[in-house]
Amino acid sequence: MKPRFLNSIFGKDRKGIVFTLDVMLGIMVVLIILTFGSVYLSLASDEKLGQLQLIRTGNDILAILDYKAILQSQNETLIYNEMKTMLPPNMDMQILIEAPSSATQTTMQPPPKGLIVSGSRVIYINGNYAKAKYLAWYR
Amino acid sequence: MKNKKAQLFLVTLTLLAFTILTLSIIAYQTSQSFENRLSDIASFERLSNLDLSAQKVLKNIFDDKSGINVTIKGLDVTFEETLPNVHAEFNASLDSFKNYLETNFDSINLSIGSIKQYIPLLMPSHNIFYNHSQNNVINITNSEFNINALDVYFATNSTLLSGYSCSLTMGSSPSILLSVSGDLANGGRYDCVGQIDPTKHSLASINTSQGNMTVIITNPGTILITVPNGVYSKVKTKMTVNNTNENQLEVRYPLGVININFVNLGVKKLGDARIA
Repeated sequence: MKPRFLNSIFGKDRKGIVFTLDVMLGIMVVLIILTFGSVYLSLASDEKLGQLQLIRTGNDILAILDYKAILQSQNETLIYNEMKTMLPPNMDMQILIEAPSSATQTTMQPPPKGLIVSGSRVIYINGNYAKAKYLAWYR
Repeated sequence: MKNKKAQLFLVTLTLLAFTILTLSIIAYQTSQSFENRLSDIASFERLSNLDLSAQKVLKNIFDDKSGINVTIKGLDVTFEETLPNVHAEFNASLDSFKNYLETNFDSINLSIGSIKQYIPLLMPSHNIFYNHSQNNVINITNSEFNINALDVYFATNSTLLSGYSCSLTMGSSPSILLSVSGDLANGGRYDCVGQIDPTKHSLASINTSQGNMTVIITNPGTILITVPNGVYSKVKTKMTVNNTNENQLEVRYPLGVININFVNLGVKKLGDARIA
C-alpha cells in the first residue's frame, strides 16, 4: 500500500525521487567540500603571495636607502621621506637602525594585528657597523 | 530500459563527483606545495639581502682601509697602492666586521684569514690573481696568459743609481707588451719597454740607493713586483686584458669569503664580494 501523498505528487514510480535525492545529496556534499577547499586555498595563497611581495619591497627599499647612503645619515626625517617616495600606496614600513652607540627609528608604527614582515641588512657607517631593520605591512 | 538509464546516470554522476573531489584534493596539495615554495623564496630573499649587504660592507672596508685603488676602464684594470702595504688598519676593520656580523646575524660567518694575509683579488673572467705574497711583493698570476699589456709604474723617494737592468725575453706567441717605468727622488727616470714571452724569464730592475725595485716574469704566467725593504714606493700596475669577456670584467675577493648556512632550509652558500 503506497502513501497517497507520494502517489499524488510524484506518481507511482518512487525510484526516480530516491535517485534524484541521492544525486542531489552527493553533489551537495562534493560542492560543500569543494567550496570550503577553494575558500581556504585562496585565502592562504593570497596571504603568502602578499607576504612575499612585502618582503621583496622591504628588502629593495632598504637596499636602495643603503646604496644612496641615506641610512648612513641616521637622519630619521630624511630616511622617512625617501622611504615614502618608494613605498607602494597600499604599503607602510618602519625602519630601525641599531648602531653600537645610537638607534634611529622612523615614526610609522605597525598595526597591532595583521600581516607584518621583517628583514634586516648590515650597513657600514664611517668605519663602524650597524644593523638596519624594517617592518612592512599592508594598510 | 528505464532502470538501466537511471543506473547509467547514477554511475556517471558518481564518477563526476569523485572526479571533482579528486581534483579538489590535487588542487589543495598543489597549493600546499606552492605555499612551501613561497616560504622558501621568502627565506632566499632574506638570505640574498644579507649576503649582498655583507658584500657591500666588505667593499666599503676595502675602499677605506686597504690602501689599494682598483679601477676598470674598458679592458684596462689598474691597481694602485704604496708598497710595503702593511694594512694593519684594514685587518683590524675586517676583524671588527667579522665579530659584529657573526654576533648580530645568525647563519652567516666570514673567512677572512687569506684576505688579511694576502689581500687576494681575482678577475674571474680572465682567471688573473693579484695578491701580496709579502707586504712589499705583489704577485700576479696569469696562468692562462690573458694579459696583452702590463704597465708597471714606480714613484719613490729613493734615489736612482746608475746601474739598472732591462732584460726582456721575446719568444713565440702569446706575447705581452711590458712597460716598466719609474720616477725617483733625484729626478731619475727609468724606462724599460718591450714585447716579452710570458712563459720565459724576464727582468726589469731599477737600482736605487736602498736596493732594487724589480718586475720579474717567472714561471709561466707569474709576475712578481718587488720593492726592497726600507723603500716606500707608489706602485701602479695596469693590465690590459684580452677581450674575450669584456663585459664581465670585474675584480672580486675569491669565493668563500662569506659563508651562509640556513640550517632550517638546508641551504648553504659560499659568497664572494665585488671590489670593482
